[in-house]
Amino acid sequence: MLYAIFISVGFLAACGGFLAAVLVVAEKKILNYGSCNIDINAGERELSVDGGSPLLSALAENGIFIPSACGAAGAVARIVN
Amino acid sequence: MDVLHSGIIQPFFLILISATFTDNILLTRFLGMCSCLGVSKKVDTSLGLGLAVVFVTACTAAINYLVYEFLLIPLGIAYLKLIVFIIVIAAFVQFVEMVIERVSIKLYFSLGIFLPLITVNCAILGTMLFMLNKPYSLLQAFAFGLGSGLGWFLAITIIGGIREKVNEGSVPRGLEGPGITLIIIGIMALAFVGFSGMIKI
Repeated sequence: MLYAIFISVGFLAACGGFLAAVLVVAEKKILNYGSCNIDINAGERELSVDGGSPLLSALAENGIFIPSACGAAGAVARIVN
Repeated sequence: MDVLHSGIIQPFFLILISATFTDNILLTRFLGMCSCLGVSKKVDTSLGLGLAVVFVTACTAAINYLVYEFLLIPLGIAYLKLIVFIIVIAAFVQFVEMVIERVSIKLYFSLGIFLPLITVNCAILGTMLFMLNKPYSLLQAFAFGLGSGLGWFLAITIIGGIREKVNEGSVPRGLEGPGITLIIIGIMALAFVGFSGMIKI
């Protein structure tokens, strides 16, 4: 009985861990747009951020907070190059 | 003669056709109804979600068959199949989501919340569980998954087409939206009864 519990929990953990690792690798490979430069107010400030993230959250990570009523889903603009 | 053991090509296509038409997962078993009601307003979003479901169902049927035959049965933990299948489907859907985001950002936003919800699309889990009821081989399991996905795709595309043509303003108020859609699905299910019993596997 104890053995069965051990096997099932171990298998589930291994299965979940393996798939999570595969997904992390895939995310690194597939959603890799390279780093992008953002020019703010025509040369006032230049930022280098990872591509693929919403513009609002990329700005917020660098300390620039723009008020947004939509909850910063950032569906409007997305950095691709 | 046993259909499942008569060569390679013939059972593949028989299972494919039977899963698509005679045992259409949406219209004979009414599985995958939530995303069908939510997305079938327009043909192009129906097509996008339908294609994603075809891809996910076909691939996860093969993967889950391998997991079941070569991991769960030898380890004697076949009772874990439900949760393991869900984990595999969830991981695969995440993967498909990444690919769609990369390939077509427009499709990604038009599918919206329904893309991650493919994970809990009961049509897919249902396909995995029905698959285990029959003594399929790997290729036949893949055919069954592909056929089920294609059946779902066919049904949601037809429903999307009909809903585009239906003038929703002219139906009684209580029937707007999901109400009239369920009636449409019911009538289509009656039409698909005509296929039932055509192929027996």
